[in-house]
Amino acid sequence: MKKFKNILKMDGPFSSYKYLCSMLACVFLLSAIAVRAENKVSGNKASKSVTGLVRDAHTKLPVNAAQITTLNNRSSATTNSSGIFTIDIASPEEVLMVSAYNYGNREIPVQNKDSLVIDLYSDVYSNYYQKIDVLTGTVNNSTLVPAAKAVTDFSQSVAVSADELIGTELGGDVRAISRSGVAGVGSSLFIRGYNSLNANAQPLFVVDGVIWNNLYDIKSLHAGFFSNPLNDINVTDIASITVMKDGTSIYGSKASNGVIIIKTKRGTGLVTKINLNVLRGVITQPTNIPVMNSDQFRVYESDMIGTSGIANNDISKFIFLQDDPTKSTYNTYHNNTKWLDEAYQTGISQSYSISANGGDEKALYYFSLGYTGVKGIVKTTDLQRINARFNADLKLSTFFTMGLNIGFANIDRQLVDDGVNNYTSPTWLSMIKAPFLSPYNFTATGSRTSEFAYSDELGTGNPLGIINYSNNSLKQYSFNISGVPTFHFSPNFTLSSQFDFSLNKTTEDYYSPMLYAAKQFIEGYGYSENTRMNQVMRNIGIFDDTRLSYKKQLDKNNQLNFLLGWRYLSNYYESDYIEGHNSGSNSSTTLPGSFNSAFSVVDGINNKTKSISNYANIDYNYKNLYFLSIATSVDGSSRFGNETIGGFSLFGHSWGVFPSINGAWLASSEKFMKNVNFINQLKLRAGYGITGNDGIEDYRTVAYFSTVRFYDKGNGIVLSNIANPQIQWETTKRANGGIDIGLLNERLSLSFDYFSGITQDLLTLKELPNVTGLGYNWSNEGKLSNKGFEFSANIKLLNLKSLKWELGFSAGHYVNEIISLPGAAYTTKVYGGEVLTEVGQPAAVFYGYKTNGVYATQAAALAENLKIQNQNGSFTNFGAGDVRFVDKPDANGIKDGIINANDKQIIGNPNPDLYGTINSKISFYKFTLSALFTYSYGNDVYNYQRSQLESGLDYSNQSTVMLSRWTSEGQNTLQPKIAYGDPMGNARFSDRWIEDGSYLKLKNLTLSYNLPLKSNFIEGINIWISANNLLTFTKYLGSDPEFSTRNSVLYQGIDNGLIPLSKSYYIGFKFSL
Amino acid sequence: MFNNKQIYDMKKICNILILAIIASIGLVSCDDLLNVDSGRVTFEQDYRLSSPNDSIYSMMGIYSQLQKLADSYVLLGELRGDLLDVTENSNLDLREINDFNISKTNKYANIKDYYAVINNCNYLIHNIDTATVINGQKVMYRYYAAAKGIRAWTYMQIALNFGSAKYYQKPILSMADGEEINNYPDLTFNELADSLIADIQPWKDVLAPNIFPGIEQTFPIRFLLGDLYLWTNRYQEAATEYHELMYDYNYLINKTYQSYWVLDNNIISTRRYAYWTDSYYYGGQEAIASILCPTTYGQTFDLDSLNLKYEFTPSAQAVKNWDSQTYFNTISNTVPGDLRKLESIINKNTIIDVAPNSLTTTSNPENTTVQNIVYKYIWNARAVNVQSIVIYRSSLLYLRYAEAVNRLGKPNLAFAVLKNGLNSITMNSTKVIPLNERSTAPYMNFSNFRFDNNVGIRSRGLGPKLGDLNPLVGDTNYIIPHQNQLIDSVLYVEDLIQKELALETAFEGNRFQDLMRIAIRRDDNSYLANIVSEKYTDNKEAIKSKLMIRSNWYIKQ
Repeated sequence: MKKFKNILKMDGPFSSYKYLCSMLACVFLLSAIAVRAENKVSGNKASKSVTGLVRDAHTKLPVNAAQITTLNNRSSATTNSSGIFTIDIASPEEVLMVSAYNYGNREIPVQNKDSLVIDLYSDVYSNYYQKIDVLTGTVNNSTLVPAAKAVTDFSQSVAVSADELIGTELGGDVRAISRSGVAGVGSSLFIRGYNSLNANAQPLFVVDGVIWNNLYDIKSLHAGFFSNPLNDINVTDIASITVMKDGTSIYGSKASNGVIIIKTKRGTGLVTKINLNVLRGVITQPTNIPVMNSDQFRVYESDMIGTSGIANNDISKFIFLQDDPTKSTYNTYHNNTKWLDEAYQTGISQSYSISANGGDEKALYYFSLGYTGVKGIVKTTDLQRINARFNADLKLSTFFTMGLNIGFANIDRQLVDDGVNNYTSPTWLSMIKAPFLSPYNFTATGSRTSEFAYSDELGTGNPLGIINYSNNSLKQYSFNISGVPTFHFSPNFTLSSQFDFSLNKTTEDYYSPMLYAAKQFIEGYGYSENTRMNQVMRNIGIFDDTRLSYKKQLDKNNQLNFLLGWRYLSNYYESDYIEGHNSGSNSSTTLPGSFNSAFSVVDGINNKTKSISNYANIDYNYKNLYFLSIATSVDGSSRFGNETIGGFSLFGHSWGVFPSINGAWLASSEKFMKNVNFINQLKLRAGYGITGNDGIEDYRTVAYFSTVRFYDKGNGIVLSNIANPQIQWETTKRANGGIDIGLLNERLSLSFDYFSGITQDLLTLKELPNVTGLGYNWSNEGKLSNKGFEFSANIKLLNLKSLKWELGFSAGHYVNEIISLPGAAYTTKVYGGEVLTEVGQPAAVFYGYKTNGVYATQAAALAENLKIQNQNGSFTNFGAGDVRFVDKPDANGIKDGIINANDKQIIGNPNPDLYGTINSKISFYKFTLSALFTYSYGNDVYNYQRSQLESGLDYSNQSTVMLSRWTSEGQNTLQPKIAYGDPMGNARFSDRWIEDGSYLKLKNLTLSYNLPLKSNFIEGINIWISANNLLTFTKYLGSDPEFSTRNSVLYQGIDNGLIPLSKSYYIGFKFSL
Repeated sequence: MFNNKQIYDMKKICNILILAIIASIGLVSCDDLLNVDSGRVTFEQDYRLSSPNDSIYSMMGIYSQLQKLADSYVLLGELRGDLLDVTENSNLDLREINDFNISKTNKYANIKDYYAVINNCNYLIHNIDTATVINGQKVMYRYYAAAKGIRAWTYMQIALNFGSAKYYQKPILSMADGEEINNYPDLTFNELADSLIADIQPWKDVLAPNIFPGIEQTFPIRFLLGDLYLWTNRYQEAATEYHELMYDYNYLINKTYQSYWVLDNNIISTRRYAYWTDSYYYGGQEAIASILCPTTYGQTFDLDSLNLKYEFTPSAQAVKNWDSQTYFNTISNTVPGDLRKLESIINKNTIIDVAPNSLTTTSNPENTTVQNIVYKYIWNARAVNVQSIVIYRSSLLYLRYAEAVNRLGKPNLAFAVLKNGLNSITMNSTKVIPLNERSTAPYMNFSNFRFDNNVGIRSRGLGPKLGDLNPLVGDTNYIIPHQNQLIDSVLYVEDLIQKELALETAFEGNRFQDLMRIAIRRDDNSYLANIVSEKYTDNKEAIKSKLMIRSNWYIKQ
């Protein structure tokens, strides 16, 4: 029991807020009980009836045949032709739900009034009053207790994968950062800051009730690519996406990063409906950092040769410097190739899907088939995806129903290496390749052939040669089947068990060609001329979630729902990898084949993970006025040690307990709100919960041996881990307070949430004692906090007869701070830069040198007398044209005059101050114009790509900014002089490469038109055109301010030059039959 | 819709299903649900060394860990000595070693690499089932003894490089074990030696495991015992162990590996026969123990590439040592210089074609400065798939023997190792071994015919006649000058042995430890400080005064 207490222990400054939220939740409960007691005294008051008028909000004309139900569905009414209805209500705090054809739903609190006037708005507007899917089932949004947001309408989306939708539709609730411009590659997702440092910080995906492995740390063979599991779902099959920001404790040790619930469509009614979606679009070539043209580069190059110390008589070897047109080599070296135009092309995106749903009283089904094809914007790259989905609900008897979900996806991709990579990335090589060279060979007499040229003498490969001779593919099959038998013992008492089997198999092939790509020197071995890699990954998941659900109506005011569940997840991940080099020819690509046997690698992963969760949830509801939700899960996992500090021990395993309490008060239903007419809806929410993160490396709790290749003799077995039975989950304790308001006759709705969370037991690598002979193992030490808010507003700006305009705004904000670490602050090397992990700072801030311009004159440099120390101990002074680095004073305020590691300081913070979306929807007759902006404000970016294009240290092409480089004494410029090898370290990681990554982007603009049809056969036709990434307002100098190199917290805000997002234009049709 | 019978049946089926589900909930208590296994790693609890196969895997695991010590052994032993120096190409780690300023992150001074060997040895020793009998032989003893030998050698390296070691015999398999043992006392070399001697002594007659025939991968326990005794001034026991090793395994110093200048009309020409080189070839007759270095892609073996990249170079002192010798054809027919130099170092620019692995080192023809690199390393890396570092070889064995018997008051016997060769003729010559040094101690028995071809170590690089210079008569060249006291002769010969080690075993990794041992024995820090500081030019005095303090000889952890 002592251990259990430990979990609930308060933490310093955080405790007061947490305490407040818990107290608030309790107050709701207590007041509910108090009111209930009072109610008993007042006895069984006769039920009362309310009369009302339902009318159109604009015309004020009555709405005929509107349905009115009380929220707990005990009575209902319909308006007559004058819009009048009368309904019996059970209590003066009752809420009426009004719905009518062509109108959005609305909920109206009765507030003890005798008569009501209810204005309905067109269903063109987004609607707050809908049912949303949460972890325990489906609830009315207005009675929702935890902080959650859902989105259900994707009819005109051009998104390839679901995470793109999350970014555009829920951008203030989830910080979704597009990984790159490759179709379907998805986004890195962070909910409420960074809730981990070294473990998984991506949310849990629960798709149709099944936990998906998000494969967050699985590396692809293809540089810059991430095999996004959400790409397995066709967006048109998605019924709803819900982001659960708190109240996730029933997913216990997996839930600390938030939960994203995705539901696919199911059969809805007896009428068979067929939907056909067609979409075609073009994707344009992205804008890249401009690089020098042929003439500019030639001058640059000769300058560079001048700094390289090459003897004069050797300079003649650089044939490109020879300007004699009579020479046979003249043509080879006198082109003006726009390499980027050669590597990129206009992409084409197309998507077709057909779905049917319907059924009878025994069975409802949804069936869909979809095809998505994207011809990528880099030559030869593409994506082909086929999806099929079959969801059915069988009602075998009143007692027994059966759900069935089958999903299948086949993804086929051609890829190229992406990002800054001097050997094999065609997009990057296109930037640094000499523009005076041609992609093609020239004959001895100087005429151009159609053969691709080999890698040049400057050591840069031919991007087109690489594109044409490389063979990088990915084939992926994913399949899952679920059965959900449910027993209905009574209308209120059910037992269901969802069993799911899923298989995901990915085969990746990689070949980088010799001759066209430059040779790569591999330390300790030699040169690699060509590389062949092959990887087969398999993920098999077996999942079971058994739930016993009991709903108890205690009396007419008090409702209790119990949920008791047991969840089991077994995941098997296997990957087999082989790599070979130097096969001697581009036609010999079979492994091992003729590849050099001494230079081959065979490796793999074979991880089994099992976890069990026992959970319970109690929802209590008093009069739909007070809501209380208490959840707990008790989790065990094969990844936990069996002597964890934070858990208790049972059956030889350690178990973690993850409780939460959430309460809500629907204040707008209170009688005293009767006269506050401008408030239509007011809900206060508070909660406190503990969740965990089980993203621990498998097997690290036990001692194990692994195999080491010994020579060509055989395999040796070596102890490679010692047991640490204390390794456990990371624990996140988070308090939440929120408010939802509907104002001014529902013209304005607002929602605000404040959260404060602490993640403790951070998984950090701890050095093992020397005597073990081993390096590191995980330990649970360290603590960080995330505090912030989410805000959203929605305004029905214009509500005219045929012109309706709705504006929405969402914003998220968090402050991440490391509170404690097991050891001293440390840095991590990332793409030539460094990030710092230090107490008192956010995770992974950029850590480097500060600069202050460039010395224009030698005198200026001498005056400051700064120097660097060379490896042999001697010193070299900075001179004219060198960067003026800031000499940071030491602890005693003394500047030592030497620029070295002691001068590094924090130079940037990749966390934004604010991020979110702005959306506008204008509806005019049958036309709808919607615009969606995304923004991020206050985040710093380490522009690694630009740092390589302005480094001025080798023979590669550079950005046109380098034309303003320092060349002569007295020149005032921000670009330092160039010097081969950069002896003074001018290009080192400094604030020169840190930029403000704030942006406002018109992410999507769509105009759609509903064809006015009067046909019995066709229900509707909708035609739309859409544009993505049309406008970006930013000061950022890179291609695009939206990118995410990796899912890891430590790699955020680093632009390593992945294929950027670019403008794209679409036209789509939607037929409903 | 349904008749009663159907409803009844359905309810029955449902009840069974419900029971099944409830039963599955009950499985929470079932321990197996959370147990996992893996095909890639072997859990400690599942790994039992009960078959020779398991033991071979474990043994190879130990060898693979030992590989990581090969670079360190050589670089720590030589860069801190007087014979190997840094260059302008040297990386920071090498500079740190050279300057006795080794940081905690130095790649070549990671104490964990040493304890990794020890812990893996401990695991094998602790778990191996030595009772297993195959073909009437207790086969497992070979692995058992080999692991004990490797463990003892590694402990010696820790104590000698880092000043002290934590001695433990049970394998560390958990954090708790690790933390407990980390609190063990730090034992000095002398404190450790007794435990190590007791640990390996009983196994000195066990044969080495026959895993890779032809490559001696196991440290002979007698050599280890000899070294332990030598370090702890137990000279008689040391001499005995060394002698037994020579005798039992036929470790000899004979003319097979003799290099000599070709004579043209009895005049020394400029052509030579280079055979001495083979004496440190890992597959040769004189290799006693070597570490096979990794050639597998992804595993690093730095020595070869550091050498080819000219990140270190033979010191001027090392070159001077050889150059100041005289090669004798006859007493009157001489040339300056020691042939062993030509087979120990080489100009980098002439070696390109010999380099293995097609590692190209860009030669810059305009740069005419001679960049000397170590030929010994290249020689042992000449086969693409086999690279090795020889730790123990015959010459070292004989020189250690000489060091021991010298301290037993037998300087002439010790001197004979250098000059005459230990064979029956030498032993019977009163000119060489005076009567007062003779005894019937077993370690002095070289009468067996197997020793008949033994020659003096020097004779293989300084002229074929050197060792034959009429041992019965004696001569005036390369002799022990008359001393008043026996101890003076002993010290004189000890210096000669030290110098011979520099000529014969340069760059092989033992230099710094040899100097340490002699300096400690003489309790004279300046002995080491003077010799080592000779290498330095800019900071000679600083290094010297640093080395006058004995604690600076050790790497700080």
